[in-house]
Amino acid sequence: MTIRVKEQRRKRKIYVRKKVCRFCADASAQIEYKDPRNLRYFITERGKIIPRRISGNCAKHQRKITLAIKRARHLALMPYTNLEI
Amino acid sequence: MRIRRYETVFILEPDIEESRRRETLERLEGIIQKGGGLLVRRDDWGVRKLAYDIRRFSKGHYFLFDFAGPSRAVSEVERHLKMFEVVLRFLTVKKEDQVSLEAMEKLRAEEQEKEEARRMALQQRREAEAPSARMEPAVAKVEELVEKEEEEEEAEEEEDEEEKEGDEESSDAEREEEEDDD
Repeated sequence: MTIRVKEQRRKRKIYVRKKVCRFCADASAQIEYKDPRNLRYFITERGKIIPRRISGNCAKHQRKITLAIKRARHLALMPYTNLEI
Repeated sequence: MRIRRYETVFILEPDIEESRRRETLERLEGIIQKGGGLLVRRDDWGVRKLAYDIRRFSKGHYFLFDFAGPSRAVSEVERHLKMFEVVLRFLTVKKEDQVSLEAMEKLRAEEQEKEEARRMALQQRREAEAPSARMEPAVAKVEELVEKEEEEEEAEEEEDEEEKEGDEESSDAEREEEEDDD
């Protein structure tokens, strides 16, 4: 059973396209805690930070985004949680 | 002593009197100066909606102080921000690790010039509008006002639309990403 699952996984992985970190691709894009509009792209509707494996960011930029989101949350520019959805 | 450049964002209660607000800002400026620092720029973001309530306030008046100084200046500023009752939140971020006060002084002069130019432009525009309004009959004035309001509303609507678009983009992206995750 587990073996089959693993095989399925492997097969499916072939179709996963490679994601590129958008901040590496576009050097002009700034990561700013003062600009929650751009950070909103990296949180879920509930307000959680989207993990790197899903957003496709590189480690360096994911760290910066995480820090920026946390700062923005402290200043009430972004929500810690959003329970309405 | 090492001079660093910092940036402090703080939120004041939205509905305090103008005089009290001004006093708070001036006191903070004084604290920076006393601590051997230099205020480069002062930004007023205006009253914004908070992402969550703080002390039962759903709105806050945001300010940004861009300043340079020794660490002593920062600790003094933060100590006072903690004490002011009208301050809802504050955050200080280090922008540059080593700067000279002279360079900062120059920057401040530039910022002040820019600010002055902005104010002059605004005043000129106001003056240009005022005499024409006085010359024309009252009906025209009302029409003008209505037009202006409409323009403003349009501008706001455009902004709103932009925001909505941003939302849609992000939620689309999220959906896509969630599918990928499976």
